[in-house]
Amino acid sequence: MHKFRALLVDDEEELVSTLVERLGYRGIKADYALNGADALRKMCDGSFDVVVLDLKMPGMSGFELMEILKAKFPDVPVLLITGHGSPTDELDEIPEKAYDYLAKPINLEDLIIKLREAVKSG
Amino acid sequence: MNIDKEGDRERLLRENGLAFFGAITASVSHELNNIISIIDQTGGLLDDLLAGARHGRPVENERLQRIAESIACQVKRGEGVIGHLNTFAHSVDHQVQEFEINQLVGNITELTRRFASLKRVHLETQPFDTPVTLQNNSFLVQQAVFLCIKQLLASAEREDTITVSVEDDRSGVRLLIKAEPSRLKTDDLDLHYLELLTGYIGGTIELRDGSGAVVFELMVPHWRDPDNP
Repeated sequence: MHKFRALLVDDEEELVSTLVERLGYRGIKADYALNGADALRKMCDGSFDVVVLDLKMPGMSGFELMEILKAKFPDVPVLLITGHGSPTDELDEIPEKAYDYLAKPINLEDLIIKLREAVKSG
Repeated sequence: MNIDKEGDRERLLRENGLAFFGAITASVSHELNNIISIIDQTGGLLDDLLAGARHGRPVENERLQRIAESIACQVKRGEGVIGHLNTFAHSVDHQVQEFEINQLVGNITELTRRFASLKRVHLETQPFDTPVTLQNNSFLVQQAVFLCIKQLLASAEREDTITVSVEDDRSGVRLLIKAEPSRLKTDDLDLHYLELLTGYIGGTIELRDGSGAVVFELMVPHWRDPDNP
């Protein structure tokens, strides 16, 4: 599989920065953004093959950000991070535009599998 | 909504009380989940670094020190959250109990902070200069403060400020829950339940809008049994 770049979006900096570092040790290039505006800026500046974003973020929610991302970057798959269980706990239904979701606490190996699947689908 | 009958009042208090309890515990569980996630990943990072060291990639002591500090910091954050939740949980132990109002307001404000943060609204408290002890239903007092903050948050925008201040009053305490700037559309407000709630604890609730701020003024007296006034 070709190398890909992932953008992780979550307001918990210690969490996303650590995930980015750990993905790096496994040969996956990743960067992080702490909010929706930061994520959109990074998406415009660099080329990312997949985005992972937290549903609950201050300001622009993950759901709102996904709507913008899908309009601007329709080919980039989006993985959602939920606080608990499935997104239906937090949203009325799983957003069609999301590729899939992961529940916190994130298992790194599960994240890598989903990232690869998402990139393959994109 | 007919809240005249005693049965209706009890039912509304019970249903809204459960909804309030659920909202707080759901919010806290998200906060704790974030803390556990950070500790989980930081522990994983430590494993990665140690695995690297076994394969000849040395780890600097300073790096290990930073990781230890990060874990300790998250544990402290978690202890704070659990402390607030525990105090909140015990507020339903007795219908009427003695409490210090500055502590009570501080506790419910901390538990409500995540709701404000998600809207990027600043939530502040201004305690009274000296401790003020009150006897009343502490759970319902917290619920009233929470509902006032929630009403103000509904119309607040990024970087607005909501302040909860405590003032001593001869017959009890006055809590001022103020949003700046004023954006509240009073037509959209539903104050029926807040009025019922404050009436039950023997207090009053008033809404003032002007001078660039909107203020809920919540009077909380010492407890008088609503069934035997």
